[in-house]
Amino acid sequence: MKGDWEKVWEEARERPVALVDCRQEIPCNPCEEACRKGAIRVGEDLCSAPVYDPGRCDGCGRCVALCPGMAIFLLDRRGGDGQAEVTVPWEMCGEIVEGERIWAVDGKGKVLTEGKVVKIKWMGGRWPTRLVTIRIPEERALKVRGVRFRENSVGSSEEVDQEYDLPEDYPVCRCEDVSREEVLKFLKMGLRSLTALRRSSRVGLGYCQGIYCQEQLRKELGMVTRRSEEETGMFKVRPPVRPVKLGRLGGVNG
Amino acid sequence: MAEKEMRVEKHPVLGVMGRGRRVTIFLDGEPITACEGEPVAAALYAAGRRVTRYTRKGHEARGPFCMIGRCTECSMVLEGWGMVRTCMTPVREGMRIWTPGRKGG
Repeated sequence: MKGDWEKVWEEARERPVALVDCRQEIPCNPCEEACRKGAIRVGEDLCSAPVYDPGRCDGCGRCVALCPGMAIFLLDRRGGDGQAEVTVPWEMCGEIVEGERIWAVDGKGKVLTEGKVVKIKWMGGRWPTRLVTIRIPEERALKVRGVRFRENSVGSSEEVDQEYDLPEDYPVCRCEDVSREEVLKFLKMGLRSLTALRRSSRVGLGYCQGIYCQEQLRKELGMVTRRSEEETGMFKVRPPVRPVKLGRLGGVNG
Repeated sequence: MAEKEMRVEKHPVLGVMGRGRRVTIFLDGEPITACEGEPVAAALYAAGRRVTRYTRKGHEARGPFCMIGRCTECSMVLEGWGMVRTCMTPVREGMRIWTPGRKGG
């Protein structure tokens, strides 16, 4: 995926190019249908992540509008002046106007920088998604995943560069009511595996079976052990993924 | 009154929203008017009920958070079934739901 982005970055000097940031292997392929150049392919297995060839993209933006996950963007560096134009899909209420100053945010909603709206485009027909193009310093361009009205966001651009520092009472595990403080306590005790942490703190053993808490737990463990997310690994998954009543498996209630 | 304000009449992507017929559901035994087919969490929210459960250890109030069936913050007990995520559970006439984890309850 990283290699792709380097190629997107290079190609974007010549023309607008799609940046595909689809990380979920979910059964979904509108991007493939949207692309008239055959640059995006999902293939036979609907659940596989799309394979994208930036070289074939003509920057039409159809995939940006059609991706239900809003995971595709356009990058345009033709200006060559250190500024880039990034196009993101917009499906919110409220008027957005050209010339407006707006926050560019990353995938977690963190403000990256201030941008200026240079173009708003409708794909036509009944499709409601608007394509909002903003102009921002190009070093931030690959990270932009959305825009946010300024009045709804942080007060000043000084706060832009601050990393998230989660408070101690942050609920890492919502089902089992485990705070970040408790997780840190177990890490201080010397636990160094996801399994040990899970059994001690109950993070990941609740009703949701780790959907929310796993990522945070891996992050905390990774920070202590200084290992990458791959090295930290994942919870062992044992079916069923959701709690299922025995009666259901036995044919009662379908 | 709150009901009319809270329900989305016209959605930017989905367009004008249809509504199911008005039915009654019971929250901790108390009748609440809801629209058939809407998520239980939405019905409670529209009725001004923001607390869906109390946490296990701290007994703190929790309400719907992710709204898409992942976080389990809106879990409640559906009578005759068990724990459900109310944001994913459609309203049916007469269903009885209970708030889990209330201190001393």
